[in-house]
Amino acid sequence: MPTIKIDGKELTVEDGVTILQAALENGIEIPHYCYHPALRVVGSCRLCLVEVDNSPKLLPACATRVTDGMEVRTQTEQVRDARRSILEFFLTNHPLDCPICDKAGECLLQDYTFKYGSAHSRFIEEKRVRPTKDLGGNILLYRNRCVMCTRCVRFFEEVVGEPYLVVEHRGYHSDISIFPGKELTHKMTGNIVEICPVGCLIDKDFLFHARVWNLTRTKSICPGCSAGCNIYLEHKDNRIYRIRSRKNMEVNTFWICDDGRYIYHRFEELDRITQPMRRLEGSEKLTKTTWQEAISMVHDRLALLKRAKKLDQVAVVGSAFASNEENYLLTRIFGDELGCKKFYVYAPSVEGEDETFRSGFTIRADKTPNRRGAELLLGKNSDFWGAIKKGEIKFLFFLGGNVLLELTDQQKELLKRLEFLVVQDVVFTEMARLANVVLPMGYFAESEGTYVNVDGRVQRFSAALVPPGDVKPGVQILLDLYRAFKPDLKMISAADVMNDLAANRSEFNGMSYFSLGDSGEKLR
Amino acid sequence: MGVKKVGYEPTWIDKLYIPAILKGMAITFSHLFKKRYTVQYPEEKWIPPAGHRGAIRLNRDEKGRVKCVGCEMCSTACPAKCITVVPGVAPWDDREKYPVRFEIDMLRCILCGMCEEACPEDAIELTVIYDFAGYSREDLIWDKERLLKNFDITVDGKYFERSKEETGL
Repeated sequence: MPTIKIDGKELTVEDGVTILQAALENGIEIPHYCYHPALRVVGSCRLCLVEVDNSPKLLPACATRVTDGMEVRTQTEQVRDARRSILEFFLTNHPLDCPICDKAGECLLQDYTFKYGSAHSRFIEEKRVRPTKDLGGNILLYRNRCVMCTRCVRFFEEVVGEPYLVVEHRGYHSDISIFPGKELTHKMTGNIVEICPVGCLIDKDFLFHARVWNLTRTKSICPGCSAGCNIYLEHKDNRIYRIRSRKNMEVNTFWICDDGRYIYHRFEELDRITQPMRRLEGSEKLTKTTWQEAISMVHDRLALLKRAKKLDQVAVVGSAFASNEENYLLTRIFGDELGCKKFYVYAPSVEGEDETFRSGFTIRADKTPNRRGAELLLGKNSDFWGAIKKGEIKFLFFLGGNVLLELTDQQKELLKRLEFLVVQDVVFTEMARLANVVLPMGYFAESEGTYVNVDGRVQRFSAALVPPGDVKPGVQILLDLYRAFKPDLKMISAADVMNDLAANRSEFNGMSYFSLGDSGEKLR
Repeated sequence: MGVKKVGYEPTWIDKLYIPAILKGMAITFSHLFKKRYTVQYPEEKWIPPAGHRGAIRLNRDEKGRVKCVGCEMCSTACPAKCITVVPGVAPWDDREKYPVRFEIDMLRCILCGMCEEACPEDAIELTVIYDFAGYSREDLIWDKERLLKNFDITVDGKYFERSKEETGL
């Protein structure tokens, strides 16, 4: 463990790290473009030059390893002068089109120029103008803005393992280019927009939609597959504008796939259920009702069955699309409170194979976010269709969450055999249309809770949006139902439910909603 | 505790009040021969000095299109948060971005001119128009067309020569 000094601050760092890594870890800023913690060091931008010991020349912090007793200075006049000059070189050909650049506000060139650069340009010559190129897929290449950090090129080589981009020509004529005949339709492409330090690579999906400083970031978990990638939902005026990856070294490191990046479109323009619905006795149509009435309909029916000692006809279907809290509340209400024994998990069968890339980043074939958690809480039985067929079930509580749910004709016939069907779901699925009571719940961006990913990591997601109409988060609906049976219920939020879950299930022992933090905890 | 008399003790001439009245009337009548400041508004209109911060306009570019590029600097700088910009991809070949929607809530606007200061394209400006009023709240939420019209009626500096029908104000 070498001990070094950066700007007079004594630090003990791990063996073999570079000066830049040591500085960043200890909260000392050294500006840099080409260095990215997940990519190979190339030392091409020269912005991280620092003064080291008595070295006559400045050394790049990203490519110089620390040695014991090393003394680094990042704020001397020589270093500042070098930064100023390098930034001036970057700006010779960089256009001043920040007003129409989507990167403005989170652009490193903007930030560094403001902080370390000069307020005036001495460059009076004409700037080099190169036309914008469409790289296919969702990517636009604004070639004028490029600073040749080659992060995008290295990303495809090292993280994806499939080169798409290349630097053409040399020196002044360098240009990012795509291999002939290729299009950037790869599932990992969106990440290059995020790692581009300037506005050279722009996402068409977000193009001119909003300025980044107007967006609010909410920490969430991608519901696209069982990997449980950490994401930021970036939203404004109750609408999601884009999804960005959130660093979690235990799960997704720095990346997310494009399936997850654009997943919010799946929840736009849906046939949302905006109010609780009920079916009057013998009626074909569902009619709107109030929460109070819908909850009491479910409660009264269950109370009736309890009195008639017919609770063995009641079955509960939890969901691999729902949070641990929602699934756990089902066991509390139907198991602990009523004594039902038939619990199932709705989870579509896994199709295809996991996709793993060079860096180890994996897109899972299991397209449910919480199969592991739901099965842990409710058991692995998913064959409720068979049980309905045998006539064992007369009352079914179905917790959905899959907006793409489709039923076969045979399944629709089976549902008609039920005496009472309660569906808690986001959209009017075919299932919901056949229900006696429909309880509208919010989707993942409108509710909070926890998922267990495929590796058994419990992770928390927060609500970013306000649900439309009378829609409530799933946990709140189930708490209302629970309260109908148990009026002195103390739990009022997802956090309370999670803490109750942690106290009662050994796998979750010792966890609390707040101890999960931003990076989650592994199941015991 | 003794009492000390301070101040003015009127003389007998003062107590007549006549000199004081004459002095006052002299001032009053002298104004008959001075320059008049009263303006017969609204028949006559006061013309504000240069640099007056009145109603906002959106400028046009040399081809008559809205000059704004939709960068939202104005709405970011606005302390009253009265500007709403919805940017989009421009329908023209020579320009990339433009405001699909541009709205100013003049009920909220405090005419501070920060938007004008912030604009990198000189696309938003404050004009001499001070007498804008509306019959409803909606009347005073100005959209892009209304703001461009403000440009058309003020760009030649002849706003005060235009009729009410022409200005729509």
